[in-house]
Amino acid sequence: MPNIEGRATAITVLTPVKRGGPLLLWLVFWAGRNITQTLEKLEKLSFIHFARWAVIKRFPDENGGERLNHSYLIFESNFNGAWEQYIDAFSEVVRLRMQAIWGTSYGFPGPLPVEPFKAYIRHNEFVANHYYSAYAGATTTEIISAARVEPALEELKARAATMDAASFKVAFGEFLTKVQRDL
Amino acid sequence: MIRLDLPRIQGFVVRGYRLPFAGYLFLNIEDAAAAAAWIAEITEDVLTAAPWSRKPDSGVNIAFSYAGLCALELPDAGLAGFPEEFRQGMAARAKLLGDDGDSAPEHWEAPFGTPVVHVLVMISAMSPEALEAHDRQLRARIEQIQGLNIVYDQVGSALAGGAEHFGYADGFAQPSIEGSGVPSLPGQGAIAGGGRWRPIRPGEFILGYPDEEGVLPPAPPPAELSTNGSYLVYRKLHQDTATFRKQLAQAAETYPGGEELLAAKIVGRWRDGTPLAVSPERPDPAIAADEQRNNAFSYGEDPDGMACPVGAHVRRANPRDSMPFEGKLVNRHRLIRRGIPYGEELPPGAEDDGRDRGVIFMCLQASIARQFEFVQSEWFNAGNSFGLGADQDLMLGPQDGSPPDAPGAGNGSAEDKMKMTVPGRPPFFVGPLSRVVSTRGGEYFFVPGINGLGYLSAAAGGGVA
Amino acid sequence: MNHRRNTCGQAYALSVLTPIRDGQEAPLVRCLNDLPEGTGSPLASVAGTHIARWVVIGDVVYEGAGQRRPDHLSAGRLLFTSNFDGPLEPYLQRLCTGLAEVADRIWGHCSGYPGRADPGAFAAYLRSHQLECSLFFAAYGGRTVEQVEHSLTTRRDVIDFALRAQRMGAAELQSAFREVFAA
Repeated sequence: MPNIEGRATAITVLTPVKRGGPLLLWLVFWAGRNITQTLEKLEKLSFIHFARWAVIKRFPDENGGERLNHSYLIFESNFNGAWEQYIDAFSEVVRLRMQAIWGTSYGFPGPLPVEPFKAYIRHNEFVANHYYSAYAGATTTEIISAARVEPALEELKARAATMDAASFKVAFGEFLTKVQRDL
Repeated sequence: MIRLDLPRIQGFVVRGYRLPFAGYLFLNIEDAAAAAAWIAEITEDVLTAAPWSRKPDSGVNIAFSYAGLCALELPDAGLAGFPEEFRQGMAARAKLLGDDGDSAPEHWEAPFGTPVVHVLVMISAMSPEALEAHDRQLRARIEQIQGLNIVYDQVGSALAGGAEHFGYADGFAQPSIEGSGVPSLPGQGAIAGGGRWRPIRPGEFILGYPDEEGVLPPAPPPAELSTNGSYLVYRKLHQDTATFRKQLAQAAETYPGGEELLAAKIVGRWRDGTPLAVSPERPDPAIAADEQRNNAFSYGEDPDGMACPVGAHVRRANPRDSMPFEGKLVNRHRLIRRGIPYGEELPPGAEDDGRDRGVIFMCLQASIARQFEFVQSEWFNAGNSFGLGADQDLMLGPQDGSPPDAPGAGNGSAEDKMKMTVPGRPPFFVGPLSRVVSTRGGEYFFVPGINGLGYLSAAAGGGVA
Repeated sequence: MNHRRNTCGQAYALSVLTPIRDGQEAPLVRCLNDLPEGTGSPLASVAGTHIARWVVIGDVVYEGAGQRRPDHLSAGRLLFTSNFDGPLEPYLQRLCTGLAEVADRIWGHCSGYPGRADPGAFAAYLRSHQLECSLFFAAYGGRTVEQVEHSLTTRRDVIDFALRAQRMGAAELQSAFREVFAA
């Protein structure tokens, strides 16, 4: 299936930016990098592995780069779940940021209502001809959870070495209680 | 305030009839003109959402698959306006829905999964006699029509005590629809903030009315066809009752709270329907019987699932306020459920008798993809939305341990054991789990309003054959 | 190039846009489609690669009436994006050696590609066609591929053990734990 590898889904979108857009985008992305709220919201959405935006002023080539009539905004992301659900969530939850980012692109209908937004993304989407993930079966939350389980287990292993069986059983219960939301 | 055009909406879209017997006739159309004429006839008998003066002994409703709309030779512009998932039909969506292994379409009862299924006629009845009478009458009429044939039939009936085959009382939580005239019960609607509820905008379920975004949901043209219509998902789900009971009993052997509490943890309600969120330690028949209380709860005070597990069936089906962003990630994924059990009960303690029993699962929505398919693939058959890793709903999940298409399955072996966590101090794990529900057949249908039925009978045969 | 923009934790977002040689677009698409997927992907041989893709962009998309001046690229572009364990330079080396002849097979369709015989020239080519991110989000930017894979396995092992452990008495539990987790 195109754009899908295990549980990971790829999206690549390229849109032409209006005049004055690149400056606005510079501000928007500056805010995104420096105001933690954006990144926190993206984290809470819990299905994005990696996402990036870049502004292309010149398409690189051997002659110093090709300038078109417009700059272009590229959005590239990897996430879990259905494409449409992803866009739905963005629309619902980070609406103002979506407007701030894509509002600078020609043809953007606004993040709400969501159907025209989805149609806009579909219109400007490119399929990944080859898509690879090192851990295609794993979702973002699994990976984050696993990162919390490991140190807790190390701690338990240390205790297993020194305790008697009865105390270890108690310690094991405590370990499970501590990491249950991550198992 | 929105007012729905109740006399032109088919009744079961807006309210559950509470008629305990159901019959389903599936038809194939070979002659568009003959079918159109019959549709005009049957439209007069269709039960609408107009308030009843008295409850009928039996009533009829009707719905069409995409193949059926094509067989009616509707104009191409109209056909093209139907959404992709509806046009593909349920069998083509098998991978998304987790219909693999035993649930795969190649194992479905014929003719499900083929373009032969065109029309669904639903009979709802007060008694088996009323059901049979109405069924006989319909069959007799269809028999007389050349080019219209019955290709499958199914009956369903409520079990004693309103439970389903796994032993749980069912049918408590239904979304309340703005403008339906059906009084809203606490807990039924969308989260309105501050612990309050409000009815859900009708466009989430009925075409031609504003939805939660305040716009009309996408609908095939013309409005005459689609307004007052909805989409129906029909799934015959076989319930392996013996295996479910065994799995529960085995797990309960080491569960300190005992089998009944464990049974409640799996679903999120005690067997009698008392919500765990309201009464985590014991069932409470007074609450279960009180519709003002049996659905009035939220999970805000229980983020870790100590009372009602995060992966419990009802919490997956409707996460309420346990998702962040105040309901924004939940309100557009609600379902109206209208199912009924089928098959004889398996006596307690009995071995599997090889008989077919389960539930005729039906749900209604304005968007099959955003509502049914989303809930199925993201909330039941996966755990990422809830931080539950690869855990699937214990009852509905395929429990096959490997994600679709991933080589080497997950990060372990292909036999990744599936489980459900019951949060606690310490937590309890139910597993390894095996599949207890399998799909025996199903289809996506369009439920036209009375105006839509009129359009179908008039426009049929108007497209390129 | 402000590398900090391409960084989140220890993860680096590489975006490379290279011009496709005249008439080479269709063969390139075929070549990419033919690459084995999953663990057989050539990218699996590039250590530190979390998620990556190749996307062929034939031309930019026109948005219609609001955009008064349509644009056309003089040549199609190949987009390569990778989310990997930084820093950049060693990764470019690993890309060269890890992809081996696949690198030539793919980028051989692009203008100005020097081939992989000289790893320095290979790296310089990619760097000279690199885009700078305006915003890069990584859900678990602090974790390397190895760490992610290791903790996923650990988490899986803990779940499997926890399921078995429910039926064990104290002595059995401790000895089984020591055996499974080599504690």
